[in-house]
Formats: sequence, structure tokens, C-alpha cells
Amino acid sequence: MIEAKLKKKSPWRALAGAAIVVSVATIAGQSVVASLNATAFNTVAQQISAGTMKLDLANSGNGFGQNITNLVPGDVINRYVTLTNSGSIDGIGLSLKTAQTGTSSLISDGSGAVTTKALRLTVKSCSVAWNTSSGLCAGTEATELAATPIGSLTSATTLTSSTMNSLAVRYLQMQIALPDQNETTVNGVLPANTVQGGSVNVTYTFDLAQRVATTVNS
Amino acid sequence: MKRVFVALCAGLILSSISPVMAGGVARAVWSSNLATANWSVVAVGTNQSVTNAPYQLSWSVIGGSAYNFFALRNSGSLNVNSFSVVISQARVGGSGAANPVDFELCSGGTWNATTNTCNGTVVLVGRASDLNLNFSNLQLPPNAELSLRAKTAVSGRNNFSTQLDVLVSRNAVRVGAVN
Repeated sequence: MIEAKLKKKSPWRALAGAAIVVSVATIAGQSVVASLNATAFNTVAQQISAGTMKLDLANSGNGFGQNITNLVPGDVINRYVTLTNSGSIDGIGLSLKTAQTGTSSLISDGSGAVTTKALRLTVKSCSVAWNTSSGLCAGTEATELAATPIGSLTSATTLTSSTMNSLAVRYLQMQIALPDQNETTVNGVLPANTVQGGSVNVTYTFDLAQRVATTVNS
Repeated sequence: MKRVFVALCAGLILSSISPVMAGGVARAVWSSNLATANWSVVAVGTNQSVTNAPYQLSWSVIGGSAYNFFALRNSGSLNVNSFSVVISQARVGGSGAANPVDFELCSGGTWNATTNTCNGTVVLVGRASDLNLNFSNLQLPPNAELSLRAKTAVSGRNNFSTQLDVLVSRNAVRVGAVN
């Protein structure tokens, strides 16, 4: 009889236990929500803006836009272009490289028995705009790149004045020369590896890298 | 699994480095074309096309004189102020020396092969025995021609050939200039 009574009370105990657990959990949860927090923030949002890198190339008088025709050995052709760092970031490592297709004897010097001389590129700068009629610089003239066969400029070559601050302007004289050399044409047949009757497409690429990144503490 | 993990880590490191290495670069590109001249003069027979080969005259003279009409044409792209013609002769048959050949320029005009006449002034510019004909003080524009007549001396039967090679050197055209 006693055993039967005990068996009847057992469900109530389990229910009571569950109620206690739920109550404790609820109380504990309320205590977390009610905890104290402190927050600090800038009332005016900090503005962070990235700089820009932009290099503009423009013809100045007889620029790259004007093709060169009927060149003979000894000819020197000056073309004038203006480079402008129109970005907001100072630039370093101003370099030039060329890509060219066409007559190989005009791109690279001959060797061995056929020692033709290819086109040479010389780059000069002037502190003020060039006089494109006379080819004279009224300011300070500097050689940025000594005469170099154009076939040797396929890798970027750093110019002598390689720094260009933001908004800096560089006035360049791009001088293409075909070295003097003798060739004799017989019965209308051009010599082997001739520099005559050739054609070259030259693409000039100027690159300007961003200034060195810095850590600013103040 | 371990290898995959290592590879992923390496990729992550590289991807985080590359932007720093590349940095910002501004680029300006421009293309331009350049072409060179050529200097050339060729001998071309009347009503013949240019062959870019030595000009060959074959003579078979049976009494009297034989004639050949040809032009020296500027086939280059520049004015030519001088050139030379190298002459060589050879017997084709028989014996003895080849016949003398005179070269006559029709200055200021052209030879008419049909009538064997020149509407300009006939100028003897040389003989085959000279081995070399030098033309100078010219202003021969591209495609312009000098009209010439080759004439053999009067002789009996004589089979021989005359070859002309036209040479134009670099100094036959304008000097280099700064532009």
C-alpha cells in the first residue's frame, strides 16, 4: 500500500524539478540582459580617401601622332610630348619601354657581315615647353635617355629624372635617329638586311609608380 | 589534407603581398609609325616591265647598226642626283672583240623606237668600252626616266651581248636632316 502511494507522487516531483530549472534559467538570463556596458565612438565619422595615380601623355606640336616617312640614314626626327602626373599621388620610377613590330634591321643592329645600324631613340627633357620649331630648350635641358637602339628598350628603362610629384609636368623631346650608313642598290634590288624601304610601328609606354608607402603617426 | 592546408596558407600569404608589391602605377601609351626611304634606279626596255635584274642586250648585227631603246627609271622614293651604270660585254659566238656600243641620251625628251628619233637633244653619254657610265648633277624624281638609245657600230656579222647594271649609292640622295 505504501509502495503504491510512492509511485503516484513521482510525476509531480519531476514536474517540480523542471519548473525550478526553468525559473533559475529565466532569472539568470534576466541578469545578463541587465548587465552594464560602456561604448565610446567618434561623433564625426573619420574620412579616409585613397589617392589617384594618373599619367597623361599629350602631343606638343609634332608629337607621336605625326608619322615619320621617307627617312634616310643621318636623319634625326624630333617629336615632342608632354607628360603630366595628373593624379593626386606623387610618383617615382618614371620609366619608358617600347614595343615595336616591322623591319628587323630598323629595330636591332645587324651583326657580322651585315652591320646595319638600327633606329636610335634619345629622350631629352626641358624644364619649360620646347620650342618645337627650333628644337631648342629655353630652360634647363637634361638627357633622360641616351641614344639607344629601339630594340633594346623592350624592358622598362628608368629615365634620369624619374620622380614626378602630383601635377608635375615633363616636357619631352623624343628623338628618333637613323644612323648614317652606306648602302648601294643594284638594279633595283635592295641589299640584304637593308634599312631601306622599311617600316616600324613603335608603341611607347611610360610607367610611373606610386611613391613609397609610409606609416604616419601624427 | 595537410598539403591542401599548406597550399591554402601559401596562397593567402601571396595574395596579401602582391598588392603591396605591385603598388599603384600610372601608365601612358602611344603608338607611332615610321617608314624609311629607298633609292633605286633600274634599266627597263621600251614596253617592258621592271625585272630587277641586269638589263641584257643581245646583239646580232648583220651590216649597219643595231639599236636598243631603254630607260633608266627612278624606282625609289627619293630624288636621285647621281648613279652609275656598269657595262660588260661578251661574245656569244664567233671570235674577236664585241662591237663598240654607244649610249645616247635623249635629253629633255624621249626616244621614239619606231621612228628612231629623239624629240629632245641627243647627248652621247658614253661607250661600252668606258665600262662605266656616270650620271651626275641630276634631279630625277621618283618614277621619272632618262630615255636612252644603245647603238652598235656599223659592222659585219657579230653576235654579242651587253649587260647593264645600275648602281645607286646612299650619297645619291639627300643628306640626313634634323626635323
